[in-house]
Amino acid sequence: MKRRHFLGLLGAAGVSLTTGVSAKAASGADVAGMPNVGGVLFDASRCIGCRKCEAACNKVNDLPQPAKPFDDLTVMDTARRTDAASYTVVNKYQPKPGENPVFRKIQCNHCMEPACASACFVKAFKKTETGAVVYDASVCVGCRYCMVACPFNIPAYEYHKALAPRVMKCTLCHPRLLEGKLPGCVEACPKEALQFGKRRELINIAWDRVTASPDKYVQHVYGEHEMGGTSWLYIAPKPSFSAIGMDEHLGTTSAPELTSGALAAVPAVAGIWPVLLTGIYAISKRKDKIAEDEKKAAVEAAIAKASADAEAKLAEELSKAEVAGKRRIEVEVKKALEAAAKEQEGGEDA
Amino acid sequence: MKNAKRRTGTLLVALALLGAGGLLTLTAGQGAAKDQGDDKLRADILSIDELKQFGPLTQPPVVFLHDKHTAALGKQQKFYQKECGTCHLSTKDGTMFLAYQRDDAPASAETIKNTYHNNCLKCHMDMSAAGQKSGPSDVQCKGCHNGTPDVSSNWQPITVDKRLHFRHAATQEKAENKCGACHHLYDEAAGKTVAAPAPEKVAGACVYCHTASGSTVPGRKPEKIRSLRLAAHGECVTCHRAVAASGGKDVPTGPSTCAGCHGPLDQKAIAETSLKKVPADADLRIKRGQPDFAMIRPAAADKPVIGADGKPVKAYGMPPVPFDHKYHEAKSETCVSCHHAALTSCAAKCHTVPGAKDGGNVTLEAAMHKVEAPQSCAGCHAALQKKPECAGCHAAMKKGVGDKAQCGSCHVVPTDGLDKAVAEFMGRNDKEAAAMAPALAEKLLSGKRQATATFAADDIPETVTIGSLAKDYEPSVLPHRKIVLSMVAGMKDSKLAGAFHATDAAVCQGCHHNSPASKTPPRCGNCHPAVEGTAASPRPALKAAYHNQCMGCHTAMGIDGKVVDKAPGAKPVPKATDCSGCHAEKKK
Repeated sequence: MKRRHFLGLLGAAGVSLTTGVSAKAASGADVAGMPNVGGVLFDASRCIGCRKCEAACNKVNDLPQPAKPFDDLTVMDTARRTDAASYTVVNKYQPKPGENPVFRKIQCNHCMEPACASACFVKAFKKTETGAVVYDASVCVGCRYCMVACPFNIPAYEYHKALAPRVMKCTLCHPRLLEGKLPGCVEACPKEALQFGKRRELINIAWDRVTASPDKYVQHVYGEHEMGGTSWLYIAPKPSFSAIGMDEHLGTTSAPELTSGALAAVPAVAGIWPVLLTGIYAISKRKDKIAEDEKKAAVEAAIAKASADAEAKLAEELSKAEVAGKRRIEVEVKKALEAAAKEQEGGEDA
Repeated sequence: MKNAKRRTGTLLVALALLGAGGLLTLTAGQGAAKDQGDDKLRADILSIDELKQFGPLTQPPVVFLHDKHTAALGKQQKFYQKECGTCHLSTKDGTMFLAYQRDDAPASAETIKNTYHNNCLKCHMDMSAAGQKSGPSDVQCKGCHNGTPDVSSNWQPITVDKRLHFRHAATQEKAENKCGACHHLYDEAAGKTVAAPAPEKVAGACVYCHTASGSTVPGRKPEKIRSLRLAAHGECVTCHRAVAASGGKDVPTGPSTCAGCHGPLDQKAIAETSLKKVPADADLRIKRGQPDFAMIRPAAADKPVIGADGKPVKAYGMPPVPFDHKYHEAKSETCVSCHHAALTSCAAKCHTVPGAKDGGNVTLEAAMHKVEAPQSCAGCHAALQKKPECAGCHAAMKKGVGDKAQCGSCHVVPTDGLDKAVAEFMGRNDKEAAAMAPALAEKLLSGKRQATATFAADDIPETVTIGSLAKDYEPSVLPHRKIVLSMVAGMKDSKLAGAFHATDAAVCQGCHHNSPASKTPPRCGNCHPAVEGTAASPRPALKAAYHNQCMGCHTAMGIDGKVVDKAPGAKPVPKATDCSGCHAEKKK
């Protein structure tokens, strides 16, 4: 691309930015807008680290079998994170030495205003009324901005796939929920450490449990307000949520809200650059493609023209050849006639 | 006071002797401190961050290791001349200030900063110049202001429990006034403290006067009463060192280092020594003329009591609580365990019926029932419920006083002629009423259960088969009778458990909760639905109800994976994640 063109495009992008893009629009949902949104309450004091939820998730989502079976609990000796082949993992923590370990299930938290959705410029992510943040692989361009945007480091990428790799994360078993079934992990939990229900009802249950045992629980429901609220809610035994590896400093502002104000004032903030640059890239790519197409068409036309000329020439040659042939026959016939006439005269003589 | 004088005398003699010998070992009584094991875990860490009161610190606080400094200074040749005075100033009558090189008068930030910078660095530099090992002597800030120290604190508060009190009293056995050696009173006339003359005159624990932050009594001379920290460090450590100095090697002395009192390992050693030194039959009761039995009742008032909102407070209308004071003394380590601020009646000044400012507006009712307060009846009992043998049932239960049916456990309703005596007691508020209280309390308590009992073994189902949900696993066979009997065995020595498990069905309620107490409680499935729905419910579904109850109890009692059965060939109690330990896997 020529420098002049690039600057021109930048100018054009600047104009389009001043028309104002509401970042909130990308999320497609807000807390007040979904009063009956579904969610899951995870009670870390009830989790025993049996990995039944991991096994159930693997089964209902048809994920590949892991290297070690799900009844092998030694895998929890090292901290794990979710990846393309496991939408959920359970990790083991030891908040107080000498006391029983505490377990935490990790999966997509299904934010009320998801950062992945606001970062996605093709709107591959969408918050739904079931609580699930669903993903549409057919529109995904594989830019992985969602992975960068997620404050909980959840979306994973099918790096090993050469063709059409997808962004993989917990779906909250959205298809099952639509059928009236519970998410796989919730159904499998033997202890009801996981509980599905309407988010607002879960918040009440969580607070009831926390206030009934003030010496046992941290007096906080994680996910009620974190990052603008999440569909997945957590309560945990003392001393703290950070003792079970949870970020306690995320704040209560949702990701789209965090970026929208700043973006309106200063377009050159990280959030918008990807969109802008991708646009520029797409335009320049399109130009190249058009040029190529034109070239191809010219070549085709040239080839077509050449073959037409050749045909005409052939026809001409052929017709020429025909005329020549006729004349030769005529000459031969004339010669033969003349010879025959001579023979007739001589015979009369002899 | 004679004791105090003698102490000062011995101290002076000791110092003179030491002056000649130059052999003061600051590590006296520090035997166990040598076995601290981990040098990175210390009890002597002082954070020098006094400038905090003037605003945010510009440098990280200085991590100062007190024991390390005293040990190093103790090796100095001329150290005996100044001892603690090397770093600390004293008043004219020898009371040491705990601040470094300052008295306790308010000082400016600049003065405090300079005191540390000039004196610390000078000493370090002098020692370094003399070719001795010293602390940082360059002028790099981070040498002392280290934001990331490689040591961490294992400091523990020290409690003078009954055994330690007994040991201290034993050392004063021959003194004409042994209580007065430590316990002093303030004499208004003399304008100074005097040794408490007799046990019943002892004001009680030090903390009653020497509060955590110290206090001021206007008009008194001196007006200030030292904080507990200052008083304890000033008196305890001084006495320990004086005894060590005067007695030589063979005299047992208390610790004089930070770790000696506040290090966890040393505290363990102190407790072990106490067990060894105190005879098994020794009477550990701290006698101060207290009653064996008492009646606890709302303080009777001549005039109607007016609450904070200006309205008259209604009488509680509860029967008084008969209280076995002697028994509770035996179960508590110190008087402070209950009488946390004074030995006087709780209701007299602080926890009045409507609540008073002196008692933090905690009413008498709350003072007795507040679960979070370790000094309240309900709070202490709730803390005892955390013992593994109790926690199986009680960890999941709501703590404190909520169930009205339980009030009678403490507020004994008088019967059989005692009702008249109680009515008379409640109606009076004079010396005669006080005199009749102990006998009345004893009589009211005599009807209480002394130990936990439940139904006869034959009436307890031997096994219970749980199979209504069996799908991937075979039904689980619960050794029901064995569980009940082992739980009862776990509390057979507890009078507290006996008094509160008042009926035979009380023990059953640990599992059969929220259902009417009976020999034949309803099935779990009556309340807990077998099918989980997508609507959230605070009541667990049946699968979770079973698992939470069984696993919760096993975890709280700490018996997961342990062999608790004494029978030969007994198997360990299944771990929570061992599914087939409770129900065999179904063959497919």
